Amino acid sequence: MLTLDRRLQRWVGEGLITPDQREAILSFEQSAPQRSWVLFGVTGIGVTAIVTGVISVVAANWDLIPPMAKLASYFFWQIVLGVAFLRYEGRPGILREVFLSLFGLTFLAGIGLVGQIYHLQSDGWQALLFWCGLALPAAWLARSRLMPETWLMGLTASVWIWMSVHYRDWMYATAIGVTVAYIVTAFGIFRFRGYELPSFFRNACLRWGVLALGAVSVGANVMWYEKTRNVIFDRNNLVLTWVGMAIAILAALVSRPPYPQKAFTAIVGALTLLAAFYSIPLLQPEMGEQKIAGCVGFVLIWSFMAAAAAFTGRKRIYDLATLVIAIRIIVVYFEVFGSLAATGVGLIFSGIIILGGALAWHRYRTKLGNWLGGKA
Amino acid sequence: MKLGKVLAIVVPILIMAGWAGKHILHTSLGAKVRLAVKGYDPRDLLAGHYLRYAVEYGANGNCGSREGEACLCLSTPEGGGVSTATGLGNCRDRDSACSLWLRGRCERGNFVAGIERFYMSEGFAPSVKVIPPNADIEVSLDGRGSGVVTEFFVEGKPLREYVLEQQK
Repeated sequence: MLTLDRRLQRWVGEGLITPDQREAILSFEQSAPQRSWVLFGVTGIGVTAIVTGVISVVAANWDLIPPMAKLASYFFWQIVLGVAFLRYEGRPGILREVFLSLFGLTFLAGIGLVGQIYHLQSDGWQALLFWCGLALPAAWLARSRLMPETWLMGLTASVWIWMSVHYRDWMYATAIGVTVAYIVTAFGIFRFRGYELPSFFRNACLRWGVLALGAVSVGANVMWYEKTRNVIFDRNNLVLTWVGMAIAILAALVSRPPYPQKAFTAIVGALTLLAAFYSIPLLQPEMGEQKIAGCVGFVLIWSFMAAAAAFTGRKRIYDLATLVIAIRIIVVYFEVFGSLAATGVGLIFSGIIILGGALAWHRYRTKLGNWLGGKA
Repeated sequence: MKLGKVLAIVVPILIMAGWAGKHILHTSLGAKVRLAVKGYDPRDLLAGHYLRYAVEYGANGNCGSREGEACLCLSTPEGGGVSTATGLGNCRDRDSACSLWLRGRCERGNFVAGIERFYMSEGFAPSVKVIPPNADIEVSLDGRGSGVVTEFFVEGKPLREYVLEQQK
């Protein structure tokens, strides 16, 4: 509330709103029911502890109980939690969230129990994916972060395990992982005249989608750089990834009301950038034996980042991206003319190149940034 | 109370009940076979309280160079006992005369059917550090060739009974 008050005061000072409007906004916000985030946090920890306990009990040594009794007990508690949620559904307070979260998470214990009784085998991702299906309504109905975040965590873990199981075809597995992450992000972005995911679920989709995209992109870069020292131009895998990206961008494009211009540019820029990082390794040393072509690919990716940063006014990221580009251009000089640079004349020329690069970066980065920012 | 919210609670429970029910029916109505097993490695502690083993299907159960989905025809000796494979081939082209068959996959030369581990209590661990000799499993087979392990035997006795004898 203090932050809001400060902001409103600033807006009044700038003439954006009148003092009366400031008062009206403040009184509206103060009259809105306040939620104790500490209480929500502590309750979340409590729920997690209980569920972990239930899972431990299921996994522990209780072979003396007949399988049917175990199953009956599990279903009894699953139903009790469901009914408890329905009873508290319309009421204020935290119990609704506690019962809903327990209801969703207990399915995981149930899957573990059935797997244990019938000695079922799986790589783990199937069980998590099945749980995601069963717990989706609970994540959907949640009015706190616990269930949506846990659900997305489960989905991410499921996809990650699937990818690690298919490690023999890492390129294909990574392409699937990136595509799923793009589609999850698309669900977070999409809105259409009131039809959109519930806010907590939507925010979780955005967070986990972008996080997974970043992790997979950087992971793929590091892994492929080490493994192949080359670009990955597997057409099918790239097409899959770019289709995923197109879905996410389409979600932003068809959203109504439309996103503000800057937000839209940032979304498209970020999604494209992530696909670029995935498609061409971040630390691209060369394409085959072509060092200059490798440098061009590298500069292209970082230019995307510089442009996206300039469009959205992220000055530090813009400065970093342009600095990296300048360094990379110097590096390619040494890569191409490495042996010549060791001579006396070569060293003088190298020094000129470095100084020229630094000067050009210092002089033109701000101008270019302002120009790009102005275009946005 | 909105119908949507009731369905959000009821439908997942019904799906879960259907899944559990499928396994209950599978184990109670399926055809039972016994298959010999052997240990290929000390029990993998990271896998939890599971006994992990390789199933011995006999000479006719070898995958050779085959990879991917495969079906194994099983034969049980008259009077009962451990079953062995009479042949292995494509699931689509399997012999209609084969009444007991197991669906699985050939992976790196081995036939795996999702029946290669058995949950056991933590208290059994000191007595079953490795797969004991003369061990076999009971598997329930449904009409689609899917197998579920129902019991682990050592020297003809259920695992629990064997362990209790060892601990005396």
